[in-house]
Amino acid sequence: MFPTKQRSFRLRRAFILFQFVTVTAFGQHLTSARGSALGAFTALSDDIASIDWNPAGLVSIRDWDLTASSYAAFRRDVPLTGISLYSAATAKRFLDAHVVAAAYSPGMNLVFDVPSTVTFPDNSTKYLYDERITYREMYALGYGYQITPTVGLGVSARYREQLVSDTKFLTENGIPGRIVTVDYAASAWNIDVGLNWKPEGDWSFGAVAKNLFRLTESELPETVVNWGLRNVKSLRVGAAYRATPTTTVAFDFDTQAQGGVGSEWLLGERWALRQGVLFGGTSTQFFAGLSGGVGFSYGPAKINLSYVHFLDRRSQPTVQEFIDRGVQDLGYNAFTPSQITLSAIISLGRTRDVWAKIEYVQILSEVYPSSYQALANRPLGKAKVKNISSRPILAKVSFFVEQYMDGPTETPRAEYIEPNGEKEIFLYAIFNDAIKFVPSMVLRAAEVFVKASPAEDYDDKSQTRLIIRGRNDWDGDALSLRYFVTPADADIMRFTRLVMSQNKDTMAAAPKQLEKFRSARLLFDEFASRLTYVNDPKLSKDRVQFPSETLALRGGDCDDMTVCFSSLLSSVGINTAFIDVVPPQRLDDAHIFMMFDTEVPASQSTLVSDNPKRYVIRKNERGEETVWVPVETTAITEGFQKAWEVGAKEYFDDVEVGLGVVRGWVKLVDLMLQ
Amino acid sequence: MRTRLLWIFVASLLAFPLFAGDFVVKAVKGSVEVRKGVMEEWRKVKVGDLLKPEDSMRTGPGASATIEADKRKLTVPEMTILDISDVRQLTQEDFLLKLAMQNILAVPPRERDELSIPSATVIHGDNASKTNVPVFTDTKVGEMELHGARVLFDNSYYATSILKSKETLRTHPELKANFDARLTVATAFEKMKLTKEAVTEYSLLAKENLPSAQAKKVQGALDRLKQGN
Repeated sequence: MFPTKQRSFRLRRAFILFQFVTVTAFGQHLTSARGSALGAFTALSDDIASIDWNPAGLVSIRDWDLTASSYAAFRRDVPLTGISLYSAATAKRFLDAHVVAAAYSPGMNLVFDVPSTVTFPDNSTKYLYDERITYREMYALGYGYQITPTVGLGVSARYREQLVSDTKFLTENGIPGRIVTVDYAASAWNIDVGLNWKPEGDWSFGAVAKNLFRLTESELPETVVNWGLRNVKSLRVGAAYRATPTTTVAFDFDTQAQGGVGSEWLLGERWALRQGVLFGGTSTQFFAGLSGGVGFSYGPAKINLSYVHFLDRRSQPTVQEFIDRGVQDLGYNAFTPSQITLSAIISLGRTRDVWAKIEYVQILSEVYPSSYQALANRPLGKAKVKNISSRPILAKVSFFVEQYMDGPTETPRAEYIEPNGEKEIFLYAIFNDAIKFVPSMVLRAAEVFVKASPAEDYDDKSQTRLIIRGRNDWDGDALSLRYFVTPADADIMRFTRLVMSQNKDTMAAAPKQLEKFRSARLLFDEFASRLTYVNDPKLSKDRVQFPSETLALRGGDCDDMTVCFSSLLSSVGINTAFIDVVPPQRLDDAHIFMMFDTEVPASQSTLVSDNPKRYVIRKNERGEETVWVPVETTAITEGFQKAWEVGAKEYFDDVEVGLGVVRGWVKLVDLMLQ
Repeated sequence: MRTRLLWIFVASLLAFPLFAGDFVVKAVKGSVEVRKGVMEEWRKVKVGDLLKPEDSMRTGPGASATIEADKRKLTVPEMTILDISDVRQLTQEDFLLKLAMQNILAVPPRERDELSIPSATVIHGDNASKTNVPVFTDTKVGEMELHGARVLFDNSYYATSILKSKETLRTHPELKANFDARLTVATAFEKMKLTKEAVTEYSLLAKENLPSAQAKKVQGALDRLKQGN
């Protein structure tokens, strides 16, 4: 309604009081409840709030972080409107060293009103404001990069909007006519750059250059530029020191001569108490405020509560005060009220530090099912592990092949690795029974994990290729041939017990010293009567039959027969040894036969034979010398006597005359009985 | 001409079976026998017979034999067992390796992590119904083997002499009191210039209850060897 002629229109603009319309302003570097409780967070910032506080702190995010926060402010002259959601943000680590973050803060909204003093003569109309100044910072992006394990770099960009609504009164012939509102808007991206450094030890340092760059989209016109945000470049530095495992103190200071000092005490694994002191800046006294807070964490979730109480009177400013001080940070400025902040963070995915990385995996050999048990103690491969942290670690690797293992096999001992150091760690494998039934060669994907203490989850995982040979394949090493010997096999047991039973009278008549010798002779004669020599099929790898297979097939070559006869003797408690002959430069003439321990003392060797060339004297583990008898297991056509003769001659020629054992081309492999 | 050359060639081929290491029996007196390779039985030998490296020769009381190969001639006296394979020189390296072969051939101690083949024997403990038969060790065989070792020593085959002596004393521990044989071993080491081994042998002998003449000989050797160092 317009004033009438009878009334005088007065415009008064004298003493203007600002008032906050909405008190949803949120301190820019009071966004983190943990940070605002401490009062000094530049060196310690390690969550999404780092976008505002120190973007270098984003590098502490392990995988995914989600956060939401709200706050409530207290002013004497402003009623509390309640707590509402202020901001939601997310951050993600990728490619090991990079983190990106984004925040949406609909509540980051600061509004100042220059009250209107215009009254109409009839007091009918009064408008709320002459100018309404709105500052918003609703969007922010952040990026962090882990330069080294101890140094991080961060950049954040905050989208700042300014809106000035100017109420104008249009007069006609000196009489106020219409009221129009003219809006002026400006926006820009303000860029902050931060750095943090956490050397080994208890210190950490941070620095952030605020408003270092500005990408302007639009500016306020001259007429209202006084109401605009101050874009002052400043540098804030901070340091933190872990005085004890549960106590940390922090300190911040910036080029605006404001800062804070705070401390954090950890109570157990979940709780933390914090307190801080804010000083300097635009406060009218040295100590600007006191802060305190509490934090609770459970698994990946953290909740923090803080209260900041400003000591100076934060009453509504005058126009001149506003123009003199201005607003640089939307949250922490001369007009920021005391406030309670509540924030919640949840970390998803990997939630702990990664300390180790697998550089490469090398598999040393194929897997032969017959000797799979040996791989529990003999390395199958090795992984090169690098310590990517700034501290020494103890690392273990695990190896797993699906279907053939019940679970990963971990190395028995952890390896110590210096920071940035590398070490090759051997891989071992405990296979399950499924591997015994692999009919032919297969290729499988195997996984290798590395775990650095005191982590509970693995730090890194790598996949490699593993070749598992068929159950009858043999790598040609006499040591591996031992694993084909099966004295407890049902068919072997049946065979030996039947022979012993059928010849019990012969055994009864044998002198005690010659029991084992006679047993071996009987078993060989029966063995020879049932089997015949057969060559292996032409394959890329040597093939060995298990003893039960040799008995069932009634034939085999030298390794099949040797393994089978050794199993027969072992099943009746007779120690045996393979004699592996690989003549130099005549690899195709490689041959294997065996000998057994008669347990006849060397001093009674004539009980076995008068000819010393027919036996070998060997010292056992107890230091006793006993008589061993060589046997050529493929000489089965004429029984034990012939096989013994042939075996003894082979041994004499290869070992005594040819010096094969001392020169290394004859190997003796003992089958240890339990 | 061509035919003659062909016959000479064929004849030389027939002579080839006389491999290096084969000995020909040149003279025989009394009971001289040979045991072929790993066979058990002894057979009478006569002049002209071929003895291979895997053969052994035995002479009876009052007997002797002479064998020859590649200009090497050897006379075997009575009551001697000689392995033809021992009539050869060994390099010092091969000799020391053969000397260590006792340890190489020994059953190795079981490693802690080593896989053991399970034993399926059901015979637990001793067979109480059985007793050991008495074994009468033929000391004479051992003594004949030690004579063979002496023959090797006398013909400068020191390495094989030592090996034969040691092997005989292992299988015939009752002959450890045969100080002459042990002195031969020590002297053989000395001849091979293996001073440390010689000192060891002489020192072991010095601890025994030797007759004075032998004790003097042993002490003299020890003093000589120590002075030489």
